[in-house]
Amino acid sequence: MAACPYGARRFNWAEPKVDAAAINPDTHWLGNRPRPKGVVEKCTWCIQRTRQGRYPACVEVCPAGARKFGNLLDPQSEIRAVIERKRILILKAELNTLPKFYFFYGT
Amino acid sequence: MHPRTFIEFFAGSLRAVTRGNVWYWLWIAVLVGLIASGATAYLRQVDQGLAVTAMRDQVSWGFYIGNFTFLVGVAAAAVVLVIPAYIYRWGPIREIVIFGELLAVSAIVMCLLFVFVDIGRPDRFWHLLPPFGRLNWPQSLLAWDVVVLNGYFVVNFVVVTHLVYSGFMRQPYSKKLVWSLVFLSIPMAVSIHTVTAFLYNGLPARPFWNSALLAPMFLASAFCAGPAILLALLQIIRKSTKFEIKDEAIWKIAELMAYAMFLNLFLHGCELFKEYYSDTEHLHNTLYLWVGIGEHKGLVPYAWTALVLNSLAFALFILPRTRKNPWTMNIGCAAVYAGCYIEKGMALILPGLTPDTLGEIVPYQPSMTELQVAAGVFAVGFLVYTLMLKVAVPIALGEVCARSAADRPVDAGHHPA
Repeated sequence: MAACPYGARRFNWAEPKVDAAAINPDTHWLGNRPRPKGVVEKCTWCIQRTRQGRYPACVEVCPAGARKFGNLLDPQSEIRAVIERKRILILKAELNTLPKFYFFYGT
Repeated sequence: MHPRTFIEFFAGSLRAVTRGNVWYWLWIAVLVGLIASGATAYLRQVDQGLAVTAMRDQVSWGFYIGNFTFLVGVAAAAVVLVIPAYIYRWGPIREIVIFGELLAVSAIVMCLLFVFVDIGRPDRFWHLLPPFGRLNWPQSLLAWDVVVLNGYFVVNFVVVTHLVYSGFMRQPYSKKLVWSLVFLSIPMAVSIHTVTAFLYNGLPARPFWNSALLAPMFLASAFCAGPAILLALLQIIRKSTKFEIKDEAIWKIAELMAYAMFLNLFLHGCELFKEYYSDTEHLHNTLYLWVGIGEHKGLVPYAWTALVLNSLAFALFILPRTRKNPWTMNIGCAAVYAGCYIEKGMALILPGLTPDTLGEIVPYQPSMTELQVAAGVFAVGFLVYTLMLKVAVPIALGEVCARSAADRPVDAGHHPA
């Protein structure tokens, strides 16, 4: 919380109260479920925006275009183009958990 | 150690703490009352979440962490007495070292409690304990803090228990054990406060704390505030028991405080020069503390009060005449205590987080729950200190000892501490 330079981390100071109508019940168990009080919320890549075909907020506001987001399954997508053409780095790739988070080099 | 004498020691200690005059019981009753009120407030916090505090996303550290930081300094300050007593072998300070170590033990108890009440999910606390969970050491500075604070607690606790028990048995204490642990406790005292400073220092997103001077400033103010509490306690002990504490010892501590306070004020001045002369965006946090930003001036009175009190204390302690006068010395102690408490608490935490990294200003005032919980934690610390003194003082005076040791001379177990 105190270390985050972007003010992005949010803590559940009380039991989160989300309107039942605002919750999408169609998620898997580790998906976008309301989390308990007393913990820091996890990033959902702005699921409310991406479902409408928009970028996550952090990608949209990034002034340098350093962040890319998209559908890895779509061969025409920007994200696939970046992954195929740039040098990329996957953290702890040797653990074979196949994370879908890639670091790419600008040059 | 024979089990029977240990039971006798335990029973003797129990007898010692259950005997006292009206004032003693009144004091205990006040402390127990505060602990009960703190416990109810804490249960409310567990039930409803940390929302009952005034902390929010922008100001995620508050009164609890401020008190924690202050008390780590108090714990470290026992070293002020240990260094001259053991290294330079000055007479007057030696016999009162045990009170400093007892203070360190109770201060660490309070520190650990203040961290515990700040945890969002206390039921997950066991994740820290190595056999069950994983202590993220050495990567995490918080893990370092857990290690050094608990280590310091154990070292001080072993030393005082051994000294008191030897006094009870009227046996000479083990020089090897005590001396090696005391020498170990000196760097450890420095380390507990340095690591705590690094917790703040290691956050590059918070320019107010991202200064190499932070750890030295922490140590300097700790060596003022810790002894200030100790001087008050020593005067109470001297008055209410037969324990003799020489004036020279008290004056010597007051003199050491003057030097520490000079260093503290000087380092703060250096920090202010750097901030104001550079005049970068990072100045905002300093401005918020000293002059306020726009209509947000909540911290300004605190900042100036602390500066005035600390300067006053420096003047009173550096002049031999006011240092040796009990009246002016006690005013100086109160000023140091209040000054450092503000400086290490609200005036350290809040400007670090306000304005936050996006420039938002969220004013913070501790809520009733936070005040209640904090009072309860302080009461636990004072209770621990009172009970330990109640055991240690009569034993050190030779009034209480084991039945098997009654024919030994009092001095045999009279430790130099």
